Amino acid sequence: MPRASGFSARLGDRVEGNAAQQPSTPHPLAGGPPFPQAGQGLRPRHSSAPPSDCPASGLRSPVCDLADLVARFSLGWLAAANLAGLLLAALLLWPELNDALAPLTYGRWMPLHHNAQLYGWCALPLVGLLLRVFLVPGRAANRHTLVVLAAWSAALLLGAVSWLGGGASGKLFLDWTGAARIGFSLALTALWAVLAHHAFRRLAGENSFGFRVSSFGSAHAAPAAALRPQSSVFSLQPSPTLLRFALIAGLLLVPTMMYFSAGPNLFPPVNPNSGGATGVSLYGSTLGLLLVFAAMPWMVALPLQPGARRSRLTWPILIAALSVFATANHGHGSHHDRDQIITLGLLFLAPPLLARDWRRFVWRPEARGWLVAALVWGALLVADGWITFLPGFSERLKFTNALVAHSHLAMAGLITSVNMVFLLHLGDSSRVQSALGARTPFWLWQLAAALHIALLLALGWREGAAPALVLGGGDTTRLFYLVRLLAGAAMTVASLWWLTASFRNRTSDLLAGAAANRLGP
Amino acid sequence: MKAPSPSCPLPGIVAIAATYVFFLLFAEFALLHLMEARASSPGALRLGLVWLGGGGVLGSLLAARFAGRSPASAITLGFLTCGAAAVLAASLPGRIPLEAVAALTGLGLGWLTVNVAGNLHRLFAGAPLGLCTGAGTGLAYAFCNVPAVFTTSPTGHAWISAGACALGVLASSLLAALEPVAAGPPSSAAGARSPFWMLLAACTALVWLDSAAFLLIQERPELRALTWATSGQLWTNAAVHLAAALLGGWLLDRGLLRLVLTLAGAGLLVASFTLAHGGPAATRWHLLYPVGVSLYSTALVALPALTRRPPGGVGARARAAWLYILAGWIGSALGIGMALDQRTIPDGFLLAAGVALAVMLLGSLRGRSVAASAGLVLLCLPAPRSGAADRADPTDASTIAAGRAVYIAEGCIHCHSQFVRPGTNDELLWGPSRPLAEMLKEEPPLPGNRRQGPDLQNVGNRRSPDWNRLHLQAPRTLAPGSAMPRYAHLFRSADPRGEALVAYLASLGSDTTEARARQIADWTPPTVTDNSERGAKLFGPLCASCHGDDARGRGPLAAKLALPPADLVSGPRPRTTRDTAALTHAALARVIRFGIPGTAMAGHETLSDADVAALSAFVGGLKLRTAAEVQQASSGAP
Repeated sequence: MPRASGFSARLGDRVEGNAAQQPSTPHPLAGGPPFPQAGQGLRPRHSSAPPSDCPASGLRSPVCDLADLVARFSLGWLAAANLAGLLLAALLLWPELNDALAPLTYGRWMPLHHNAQLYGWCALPLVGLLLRVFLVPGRAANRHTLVVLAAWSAALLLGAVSWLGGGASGKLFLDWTGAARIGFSLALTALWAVLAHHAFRRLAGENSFGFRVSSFGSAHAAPAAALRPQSSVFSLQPSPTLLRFALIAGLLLVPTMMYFSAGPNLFPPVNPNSGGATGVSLYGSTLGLLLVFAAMPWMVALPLQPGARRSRLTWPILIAALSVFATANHGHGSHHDRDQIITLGLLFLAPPLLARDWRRFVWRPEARGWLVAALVWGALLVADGWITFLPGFSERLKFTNALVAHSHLAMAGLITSVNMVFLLHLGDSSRVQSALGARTPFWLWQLAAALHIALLLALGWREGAAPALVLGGGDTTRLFYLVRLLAGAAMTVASLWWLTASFRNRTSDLLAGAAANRLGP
Repeated sequence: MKAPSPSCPLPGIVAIAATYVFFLLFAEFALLHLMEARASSPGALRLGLVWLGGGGVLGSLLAARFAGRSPASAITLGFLTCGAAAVLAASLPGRIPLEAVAALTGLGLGWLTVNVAGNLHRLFAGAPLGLCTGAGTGLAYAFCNVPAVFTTSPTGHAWISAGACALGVLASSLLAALEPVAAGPPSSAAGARSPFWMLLAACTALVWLDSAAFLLIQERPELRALTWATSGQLWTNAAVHLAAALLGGWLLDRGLLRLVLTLAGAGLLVASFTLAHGGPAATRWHLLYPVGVSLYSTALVALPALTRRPPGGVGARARAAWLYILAGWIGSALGIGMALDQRTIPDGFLLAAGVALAVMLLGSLRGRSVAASAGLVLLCLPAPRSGAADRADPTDASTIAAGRAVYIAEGCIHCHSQFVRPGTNDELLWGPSRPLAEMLKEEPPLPGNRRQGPDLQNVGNRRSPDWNRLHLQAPRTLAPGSAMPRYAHLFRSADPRGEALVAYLASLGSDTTEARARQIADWTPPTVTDNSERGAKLFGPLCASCHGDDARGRGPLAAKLALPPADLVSGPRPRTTRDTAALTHAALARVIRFGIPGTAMAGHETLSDADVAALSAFVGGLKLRTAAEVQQASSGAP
């Protein structure tokens, strides 16, 4: 039985023993017993017998495990995005290669790299998380998981064809146009339909709608109790169905909003002095990510550490953070405006708060390294983002390779680390645990990402003072780009390793190798 | 379970008609007009649409979840909610946010439609379900096309819709007197031979098509004139709608659900194609649009009742909910979005929709599955791009627009910004800044976020079309060390993209020429340094491709330029007629740094002051040298 990992103040420590023996608190979104019992995963952990919902023939089928499927699709897109990134790095170093590839030149590959990272690698683990919360275990769940992931990937493939074929929208972050735009909205709709279908199935199995009547004596008392300031939704024990239903209603807006937002006549607020995002926009988008990070332990039903309590600060902090966003200036704020700087600076509070919150849960041992990495990258990201936003620094670093460094800090650093944690907690796949818990690719990725980011940051700093350094493509720049290419190659190797490992059979060799090569002490 | 007993179908017909009148006049027309009139930006109207759709989906979900003991009460509640929304919009203009009205409208309509369609067996127990549904649908469409109704103001539409809801309440009160009947699908449930999801997909395609065609007609005055401009046209439309709906209902009663949907699809496809392309065909075929709309609208209401509940499947109300969420709300959102985005209905979409509909409605189950997939793939093929720009007139707006499309398609934004930061060194490097509001008028704005190459906001007054053309075809001959890809393939014969791109680049900054000239004049040149050796080294990579190694204006690219490069050894130099040493140096430094606007002489904006001074010193001294000496110096030979 693998040990459950405590991500506590003692980062080196772990909680020993079976967490089934520990006091654990199921949360409303968790339909089943919490990790590390069978959990909401589609098959019991460490079970040699097929689970009830997955017949013997199905167990051997790759369709039988949410974690396996999501990991394969996600890691597939990570590898694809990295390969495209590698090509881009080579094209910068040897621009003549573009001649051989024309018309598939640098500008056509960029959106593929960018969007495969954003909508493939970054998004699919979150899709997996939603499926984990909503799916009613069974054969249909496996089939629906495959349908959703395939539809999502088909939309991305369509996008890839579109971008490489010159079908770009001109928007950097919502680069969906024409048929690809429709395809992506349909994929989102398919996801929503599957989630709604399973939510309805749960509804059909419940006698009450909304709050659990037994807790309060009457269904009408519950909403009133929810308004009590000292209460939290979770402590009220509302019906999981209600939360799912609320989430479903909210998610319904996503396909339509995504479709309209990708249109050419909608554009986010712009910093009039830099041409980039405003401080409030950056704060808002980061806050959204932080909410997902903070909700993740609840969504996958992680048990609490022995003696850990529910945080009384969670809701006040959340409300305060959202209030700041709601009341901030959402117009075209400049980085010279004090309120924009202060608002963005509030994100400095996030890493320690998140660390404090995450410490209360029992994590898988394979996730510990990724958790630490996520917090380190997160802290660096906040610092880098804020400093880059400051007057003087913005003028020097905006439009340079330092901005590329910041993007990689976010994607290769923070998001990748968090996503690995997500993937490790979607189910009980030994393949995923072996793949993502391996030490060598972990360190290969982390070190290569650090080198990559440091190089680009240094080059950006120099480039900001002397644009000719990059525009003229001198030897110094070429040296930077060469080392960056090597770092990118190392990251690509790591991602391909994870991808292939996620397909490997559970041979004794692999297990033995993984056991000897597991993250953690 | 009681067998259906014959009863008066009139209340049911009125309920359907009132629901459709509310939908057509208020939700689809008056509310949008009122929101548009009060919207401060295009985004506000879209936000209202999102509220409407969100409310609709929520209403449908709630209706599917809460059965209620009395269907009549549920229908009454729906009419009351809808009526309240219409009254609020009509009586309190400006006092209540229309987003709230939109949400309420969606909520009420979602609830109402699911409850009406989900209880059709009760409404028409013992009566011909299809024909009654067709009568309700057709009467509503016909009523809305009556000229006096059609041409009234949005507020008038809101009041009429409120009246329809009152009538609906009255009808549902009569329904309450009827004995509830639990009935299975009628013998005409031929749709059961098709899986519900397939019919759902077909309906989604039809609503998508209808919404796109509707918006297209609304947006284009010439199409409006063709379809619903005169009283005669409106009366014709009313008659066609009623006849088609009754025909559809009659066919439904004979178990021909798939035929109805097929006819509707064919009508909508032909009408959409001819409307999208205009011309005489549109005049001939536009009436197929009301035919298709009425046919599928009738089927849409009857479908949940006409499909059997599969083993383990959902009931009529849940089927109705899925139908109106996916086909109704999401299908129409996709149609409206497509028409707004593309400003037309792409032929590729029509083809894909046609293939998908044909096979889903006509083929075998396996064939339908395969074809549905094929249709999806077809649908996903990139839309043909309208990039054909004439080379004739580079100032032509359509050529410039086509060039902008090429700029976007080739991903130029990933290396080039178009944003000069005000008050920074950017202005000296890349020209004057411009107000943010101007940039935001573009669709989409292209500020970019990376400068792997220079900023292009004012490239039109920094680089001539000649220079850009050469640079796009062979970048490193003009800019050594540049990471820019070659785009020679855009200039191959019969490919207009290259010239369009050149025209677009020439247009950037065309309005800042004077401001740029002032910047150049205000620039203080660096002091003269006696570093002509450094200047000689720079001359080779930066100048020789045009001016030649011997500086005689005979470089390898010279023949490709409209104006031959200057002979720097013996020829006259532009802008340096007063040949005093200081003025020569200052003028040369400006030319080296900023180029000569209107000629192929490009500036070297990122050169350091020291390098500008060195190059200026070298070029300034060329007149004193022989060609051989110049060649020797620039090649670095001893």
